[in-house]
Amino acid sequence: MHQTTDATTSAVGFDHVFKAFVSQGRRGEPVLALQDVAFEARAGEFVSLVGPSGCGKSTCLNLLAGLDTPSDGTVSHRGSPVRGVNTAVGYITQDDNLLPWRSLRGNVELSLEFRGVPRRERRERAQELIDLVGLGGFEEHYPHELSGGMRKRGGIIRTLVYDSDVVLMDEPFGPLDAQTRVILQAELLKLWHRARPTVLFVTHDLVEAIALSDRILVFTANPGRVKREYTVDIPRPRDPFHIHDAPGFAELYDALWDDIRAEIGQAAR
Amino acid sequence: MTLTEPAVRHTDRARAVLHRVATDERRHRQRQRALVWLGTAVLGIALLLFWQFGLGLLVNPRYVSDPATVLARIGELLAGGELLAHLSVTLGEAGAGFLIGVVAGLVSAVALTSSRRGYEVFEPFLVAFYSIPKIALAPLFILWFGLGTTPKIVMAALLVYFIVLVNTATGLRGVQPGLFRVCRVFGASRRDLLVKVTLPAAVPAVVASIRITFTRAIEGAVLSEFVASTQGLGYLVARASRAFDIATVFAGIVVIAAVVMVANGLLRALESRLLPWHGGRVHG
Ligand SMILES: Nc1ncnc2c1ncn2[C@@H]1O[C@H](COP(=O)(O)OP(=O)(O)O)[C@@H](O)[C@H]1O
Ligand SMILES: [Mg+2]
Repeated sequence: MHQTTDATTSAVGFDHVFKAFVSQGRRGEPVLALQDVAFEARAGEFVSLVGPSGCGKSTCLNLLAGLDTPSDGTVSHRGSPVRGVNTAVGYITQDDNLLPWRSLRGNVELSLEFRGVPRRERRERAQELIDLVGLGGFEEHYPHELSGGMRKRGGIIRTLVYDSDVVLMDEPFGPLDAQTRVILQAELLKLWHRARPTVLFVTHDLVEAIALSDRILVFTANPGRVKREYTVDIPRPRDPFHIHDAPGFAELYDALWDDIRAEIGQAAR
Repeated sequence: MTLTEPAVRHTDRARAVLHRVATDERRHRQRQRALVWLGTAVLGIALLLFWQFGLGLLVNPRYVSDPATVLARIGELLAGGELLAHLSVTLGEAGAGFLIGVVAGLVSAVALTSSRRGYEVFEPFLVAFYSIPKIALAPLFILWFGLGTTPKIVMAALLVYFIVLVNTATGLRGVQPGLFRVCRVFGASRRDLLVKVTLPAAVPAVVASIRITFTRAIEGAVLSEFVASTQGLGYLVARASRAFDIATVFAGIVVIAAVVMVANGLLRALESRLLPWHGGRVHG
């Protein structure tokens, strides 16, 4: 399945991308974060990026969001190179980054405000998603009055509310406890099936990557490069609560873990 | 961490628990508030008693007066209309200086921090000006601006200006970078970022600095009146102390302290009203 890579349907493209950072700590010496990263993601595809810490996963997302520019190579979105901040994608970070002075509703409507969506429509679109993730009744609560899981839901729907065709997620469930993570994975899948955006999902959790993805890209240790890619053949809709029982899960998990362990060993040396 | 699930249906028992917790919480808060009031009153009375009976043992009793006499003096000054006249002059100077200082401080902070390098260029000068003992400037202001209210307003404004500027600039620069990145991708314009992210994020620092600075404005006005003037609370105190009229000196000091306490209380109440999302707490 999903073997053909058709240029016309490619939502995201990394074409031999290099990225070097000049860090202040090393007297202005540039350090390579990405080395010849090349991959594509088709429209509607859910792709996970895994690899040792510091291998450049977040950097990849920042390049696609236009918050950073590649030092060499091209990052493209819907076939054209990303130039300037890319407001056509959605970006969800590990910190929920909710504005503390806005209620949940105010936060979910924020991006629509920036985009000049009229008040009524903002209200309706926000409410739909708030209800969909079970946050109805908490619209007027401020972030500090919500649990970690609720804030995370808010952080996700405030980005999905403007229906971008590509959604970038950088370890969104990182700081959550194990149960909440699985609940939110199930909810994320539900949200994803609703509009089917292309997702680039960074995670450290291999079970999570398998439960959610169509494809998993394993990165090498710093400087990052795509070491190997795995297709996840588990049929959808999937149940993250019982993903361990899915056929092929154990083999895939072991293969991924062997790959990563080799890279972590590399990084530790 | 537990996940609070919305839209739960409460059993009678659960409703009773909720009710009890709400009542307990309310009672707890009332008790806490009463304790604070009680503590304040006890401390105030202790201070008055010390002043009445203890202070004379430490310093020359001829120069300390006592609360009863001072209270009587305040009464006389009030009755003569003199006190209110001086008070309104000082409050007018402090108020004008405060407004000018706050507005100028806010505008400068936004302007300076709109570019990171800009702030870095100005910072050493800000720190230098900030650390000048302002009383050293009072005689200069009198020479420059005369004996009227202008040098007092300038002094009050100056004290306020630097505090508001430095606090606001710190608040503006301290916004989590993650907020910016996410909002930029959301499609925020530069103006959106300023109005909807930067400024609200700086509000706690701004509000706290405004509360602190109102007292500084009064201090600036009084201090400057002290150096040279013909009216105001500072003048009242300075004149009385030159005449060894100790009761009037203390009367003036007590009135100044009372004004500052009242203003501080009002501004604090305003502060928790302005910042519901902060749980009413401001660090400043
Ligand atoms: N703004 C930056 N300045 C300097 N170095 C950076 C910057 N951002 C990332 N790096 C470096 O690039 C490498 C990759 O970082 P990152 O993409 O955050 O890794 P990951 O998300 O995979 O953990 C790291 O070595 C990191 O130190
Ligand atoms: Mg990262």
